Amino acid sequence: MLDSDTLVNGLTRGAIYALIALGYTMVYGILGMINFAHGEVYMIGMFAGIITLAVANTTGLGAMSVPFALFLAFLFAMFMSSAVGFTNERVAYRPLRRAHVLAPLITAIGLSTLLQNFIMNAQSKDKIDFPQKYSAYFTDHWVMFGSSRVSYLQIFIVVLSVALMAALQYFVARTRFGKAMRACSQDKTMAELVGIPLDRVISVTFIVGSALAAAAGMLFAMYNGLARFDSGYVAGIKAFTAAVLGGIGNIPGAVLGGLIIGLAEAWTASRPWGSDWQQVVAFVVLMLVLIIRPRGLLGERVAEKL
Amino acid sequence: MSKSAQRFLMVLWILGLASPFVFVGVQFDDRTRDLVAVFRKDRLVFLVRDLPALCMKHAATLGILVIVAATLYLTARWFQRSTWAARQASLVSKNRIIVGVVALLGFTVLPCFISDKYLGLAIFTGIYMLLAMGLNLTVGMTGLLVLGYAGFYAIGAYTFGIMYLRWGVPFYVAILPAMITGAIVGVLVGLPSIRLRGDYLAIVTLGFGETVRFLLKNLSDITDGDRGIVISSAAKIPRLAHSPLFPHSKSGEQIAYYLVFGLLLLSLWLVRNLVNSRIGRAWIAIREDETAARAMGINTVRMKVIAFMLSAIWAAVAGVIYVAREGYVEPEVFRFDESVLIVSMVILGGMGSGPGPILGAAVLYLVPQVLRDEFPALLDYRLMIFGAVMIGMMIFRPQGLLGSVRRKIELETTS
Repeated sequence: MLDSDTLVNGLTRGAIYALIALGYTMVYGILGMINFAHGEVYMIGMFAGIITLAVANTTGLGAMSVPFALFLAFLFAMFMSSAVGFTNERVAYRPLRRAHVLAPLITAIGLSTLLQNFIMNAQSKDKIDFPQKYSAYFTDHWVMFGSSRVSYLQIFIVVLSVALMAALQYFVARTRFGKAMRACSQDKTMAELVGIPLDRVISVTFIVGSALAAAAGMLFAMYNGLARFDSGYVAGIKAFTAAVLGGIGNIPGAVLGGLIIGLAEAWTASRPWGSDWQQVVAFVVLMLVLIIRPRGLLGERVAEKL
Repeated sequence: MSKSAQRFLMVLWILGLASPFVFVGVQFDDRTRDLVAVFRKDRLVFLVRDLPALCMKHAATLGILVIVAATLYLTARWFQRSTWAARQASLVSKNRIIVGVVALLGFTVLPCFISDKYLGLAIFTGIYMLLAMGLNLTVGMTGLLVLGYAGFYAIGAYTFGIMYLRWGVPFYVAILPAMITGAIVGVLVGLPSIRLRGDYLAIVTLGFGETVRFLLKNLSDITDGDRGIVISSAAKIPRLAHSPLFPHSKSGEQIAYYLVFGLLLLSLWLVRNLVNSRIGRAWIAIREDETAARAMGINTVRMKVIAFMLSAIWAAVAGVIYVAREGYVEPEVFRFDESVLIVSMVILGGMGSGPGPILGAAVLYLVPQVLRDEFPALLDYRLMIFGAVMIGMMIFRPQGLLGSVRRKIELETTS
């Protein structure tokens, strides 16, 4: 049922979805809100990265050292997305923290429209090609896995994603700040009472989530070879679905959900009837899972708080 | 929290605010094979020198705009507080029959004075008002976030479209089967969703909306797929011949206008009665506290399914009207954006209040349209402005433009 081609494709996509889903799930865990603008943060990461590469091209840095330019691009993309994610929270969510839960949803939708159209106007209405010079090394080399070719790029995507997830897991589970984050997600008021700077924890949550999304954006742009101002829309919906599938607010759940959705999509795409249905399969899987497990795969069955 | 971390956050804050300049100042030149960056000094110069200069030149106009906006805001603030305003408000509500009759007359004679373009805008605003009222039953009254409302809208539209394609059924006959199909689908989506709460429900309905769109695209034997369905003009809403009563209109779409207007009045009346009925009170109880509602003996499952069903019926009717007026329908009409737009109308207008969603629909539909028609220079920027307006409105009035009294009390007392 799952041949090795599908497995490799699915894992690659799944890793990218998982990286984006982490941002959704972390914000949800602490604020209990759906950050609809997260897909746009991911898209801005793509564009910031490609801009860096374009600048490297023009200044001649790209000709000197491809890996260094690529490294700079990742760094700048993550930095830029973090800044945008952080600013989003400051401008559009923080003033509404005490309002009804659906109020920040609307500002998030507004932000998403605003950012998408801003990039469309400022950059391009059409797709931007990822400069092949920088991904050539990764796409032209491969190893054999079973009967299928695995490009270095696919390995790179999976390895980098796993590294970032491991770093996140370490950050949340082992560091002092991670402990503060977990405390805030359990009870914001109590966390504040014991002296945890809630505002700063929330800021850092947005920064970390946005940086992960930017990395995912760069990887995806390399993998697909293009970026568009509306790339964040589909990826955002899928990643959000992944987060809910795994149990929203749950970090390992987001990773699991991302992988399942990536594999399901790759499997559908490999079927003869697949190309038409590839975009829906994520939702079908989600609905089936939620009917059986209403709180997602790894979501806990908590009693309703009274 | 150390000093250096604080400095890092400060840098991010500044960079975040400055990030637009990066994307404005550097652009790609994609013409060569290798991607090349172009430094767009012209744009930056425009932003920092010409735009302020332009603003200075039109300082008087801008100043007046700012003063008007500030006055409006302050008046609104004062209105909320003052006893005089409260007296006037109660006067209005005491004489609401008179006010209602005046408004009714006003909207009835409106087509006599407006041209085709505005008539078309009015019809579409009306369709969105119907949708927002329908969605208000689930999102506003019952507190169930539905992110796939366009799916129900599509069901109505395509029920009519397919019935026309197969049997040549005109719209006024198709409206009943469309309502029935809508109700059935509403129950089918509602039932399995009952175990889910909050955002899980939201994402399942999102999935439903997207699945419907792809079904319509891919089952092309039945739906004609991406090409969409075209309705002949005979089956559409009939048009008036050019009449002296409506001197400004050539298209003769007055019947569509009055149809939508009549449906709106009917829905207003229905919704008001629903809200005050046993069902409506049960919905509000569920919204406020589901566990308590169940403890009080409310059959929450049944009530939620009813909310879904009624909501879907409203969407189905709106869908039929849409197709009967446009004469054309394709799956891309029912994108996720459409669902999001309708949810925004409900929340921005004021959840759970009767007239709130109507106002929200008018604002959110008309703002981009007016920007498009009246300010062609801003064409590319209209959606940016739209997003900014949404953010600004929500920050100034988190409870929505016409937040219901009950909501307001709840908002001010909880944490």
